[in-house]
Amino acid sequence: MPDQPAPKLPPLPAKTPAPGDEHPWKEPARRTAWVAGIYCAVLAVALIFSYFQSRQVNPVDHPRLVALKAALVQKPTDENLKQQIRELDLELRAAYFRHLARVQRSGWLLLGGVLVLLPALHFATWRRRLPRPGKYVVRPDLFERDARLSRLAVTAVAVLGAGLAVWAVKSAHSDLDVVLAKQAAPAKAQISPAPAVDASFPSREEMARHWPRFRGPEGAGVSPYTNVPVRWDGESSEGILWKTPLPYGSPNSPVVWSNRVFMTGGNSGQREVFCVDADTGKLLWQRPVGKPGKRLPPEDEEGRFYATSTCATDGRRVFAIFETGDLAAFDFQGQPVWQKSLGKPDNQYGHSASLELYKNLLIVQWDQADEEAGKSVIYAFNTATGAEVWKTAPRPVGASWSTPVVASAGNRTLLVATGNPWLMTYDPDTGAEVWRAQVCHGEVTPSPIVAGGLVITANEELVATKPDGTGDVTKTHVLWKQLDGIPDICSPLSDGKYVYLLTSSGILTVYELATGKRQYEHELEMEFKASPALAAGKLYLFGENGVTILAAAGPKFQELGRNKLSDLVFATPALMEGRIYLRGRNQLYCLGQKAP
Amino acid sequence: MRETARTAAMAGLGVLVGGIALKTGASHTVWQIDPYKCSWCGLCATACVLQPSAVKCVQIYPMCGYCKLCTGYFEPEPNALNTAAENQLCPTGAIKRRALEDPYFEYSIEEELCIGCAKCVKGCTLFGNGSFHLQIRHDRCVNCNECSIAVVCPAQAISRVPADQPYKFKSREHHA
Ligand code: SF4
Ligand code: SF4
Ligand code: SF4
Repeated sequence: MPDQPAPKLPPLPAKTPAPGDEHPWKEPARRTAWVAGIYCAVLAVALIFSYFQSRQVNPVDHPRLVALKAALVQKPTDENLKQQIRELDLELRAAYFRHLARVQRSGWLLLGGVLVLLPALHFATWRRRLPRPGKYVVRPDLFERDARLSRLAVTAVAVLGAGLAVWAVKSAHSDLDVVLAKQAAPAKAQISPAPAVDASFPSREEMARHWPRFRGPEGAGVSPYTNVPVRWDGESSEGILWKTPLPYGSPNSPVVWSNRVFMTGGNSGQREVFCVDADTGKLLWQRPVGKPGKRLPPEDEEGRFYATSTCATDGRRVFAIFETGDLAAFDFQGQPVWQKSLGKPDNQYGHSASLELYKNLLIVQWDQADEEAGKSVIYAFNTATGAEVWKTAPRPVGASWSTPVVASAGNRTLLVATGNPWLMTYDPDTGAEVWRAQVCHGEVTPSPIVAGGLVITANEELVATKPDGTGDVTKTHVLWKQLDGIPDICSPLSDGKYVYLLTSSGILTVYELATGKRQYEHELEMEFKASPALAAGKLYLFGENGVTILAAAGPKFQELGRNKLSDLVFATPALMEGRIYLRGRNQLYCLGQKAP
Repeated sequence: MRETARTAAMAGLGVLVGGIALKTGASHTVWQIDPYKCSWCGLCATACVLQPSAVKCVQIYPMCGYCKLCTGYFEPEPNALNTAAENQLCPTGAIKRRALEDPYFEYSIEEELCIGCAKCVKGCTLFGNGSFHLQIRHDRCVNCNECSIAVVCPAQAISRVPADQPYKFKSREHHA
């Protein structure tokens, strides 16, 4: 066969897509697919990396921690070792919880990436599909319509699915929130759009006629009224004007303004503010605060207290705070005025400091964590709007459970707040520090008072401090100190001449205010949680078992009578004109004589 | 094509509805730990499909001795009986201690922090009253078909229990 020239092949067509394979989205989709693909890959690598890294911060049996602890057994007094253990422990725990949060977050980000990647890949590899034979051969016009319908159906199902997914995510709460809330700064105040509100505020004289806060005016536990009831009896109901069952057995105290009594309550799942008619005992309203959560099983709740902070009222609104960090204001009709969250505080027993009011400021002592953490502050919020007016510099104290007071001391008005180890005073208008004294110790629970021109604190020692200093006055202004009969829960009480201390085990110890000289000590043989109160020269000592002992104020113990209710009493009652509002575990009692 | 579309839509809906029904209704049993069988091996913290684990420590207050030296709270030879990290057994600081009246303390578990490692359970069961123990918390557990902890549990302490009695708490009566 003669050689034939090689057959001439037709030139290869330029690499263009077959006609009909064009899709307007194809090019953008290809680019998107690249971007999304790289994004997903990076995230996946980061997740894997984070997984291996997390094994090094495993807090359970970290070798260095184990070694340090073993070393401490050898040298049990080595402070340096202890410090190292504490630091490493905190570091490991924080790293571990941060890792968990990161994994959770990257998981969601990865899901988002995949949701973009898949449709992008779909369009990037798009090819025209040939119409199927069948009815479309006869009616080709039907093809487009049906295709549209099927696209619509798929989209609808996808939207439905996305909706359900969003719902599922929203209804699931993350167990990391609490830990992270502790690490993050407290959430910034969210001020709800304020309707026109009454921005006026009561004068101090007006406040003094009511029982606006924990332990009444200036938090002193002293009633200005001389006709406070002295006789009642739970069995015969004599001396009881009314009693009303309460929705919660929380230990916070009632506050009273005119004919309204306010209290709060809660359990592990929810928190509420409620209002009772002071004349009839009728429960007028009850309002939830904050987001309700899942309630613990009863056996986990048993024996614990919720809603321990006492609310406060300025005669226009009532303010309440809870251990969750929820802070709320309601008007007297129960309409919410504002609400905000300060974030759950780092406080091992739960926040329990009560609220204080000064002019148009709501004062919140927000002590938490330990002295070094720098997380403790005092806030002042505008009572009408909830806006933050001032905030103190970080307080060098750890978590505390005592309530601040604003009182006139010497010739100035001071905001007095205790924490371990500092008694600190501030200018209540600006939050600027005035002076401090290192006189508090331990778990600071009894609240300070101002009496006879002195600041009295009883936190592992009873200390009288002169209020006219500036800066650190520990060495210059402490007038006297005493160590006996110091209360662990109940706050001190004074009539301006003597200081009365009551321990929870029932020891009443009395000192002379001016000199610190001990007058007497008396065993009451009862348990006490409520702080003592004073009216018309009589001490009111409210026992946990429902028995109230009346004793004469002064340098000698003299019992004036005992009154019994069959209820448990943890809350400090409100001593008003002709009436006592006493909160038992189950009921609120209004003590007083019926008008003849 | 119309059939295909309709079938696709129906199938999609069917899967969704079915899935929801399965998640909410159909399971009549859930997984739970028998605290009397648990041997505190620590696998609950790591074997669960969830991180942190759905297994948490619970405290049965009526059984607790409220001791000052709590063997579930403190390291075996604590340096001091205070809350400092060098004395605490719990690696995440999940156990909170509150002084009641001297010498009694209340111990409670902050569930958000607990990882179910069983260190405290071991301490409390061996040397204390055994009031701390582990339970699968059903507000977290996703009720896997096959609980991945049950598969590895050396004491075979995990089994399915009726969903209307989802917990196996210890009790003083049973214990005594
Ligand atoms: S060791 Fe157990 S029984 Fe004893 S106090 Fe601690 S938790 Fe309670
Ligand atoms: S020691 Fe382990 S099981 Fe016990 S509370 Fe802490 S994390 Fe939970
Ligand atoms: S069933 Fe699944 S989620 Fe529940 S405890 Fe077992 S492994 Fe964890």
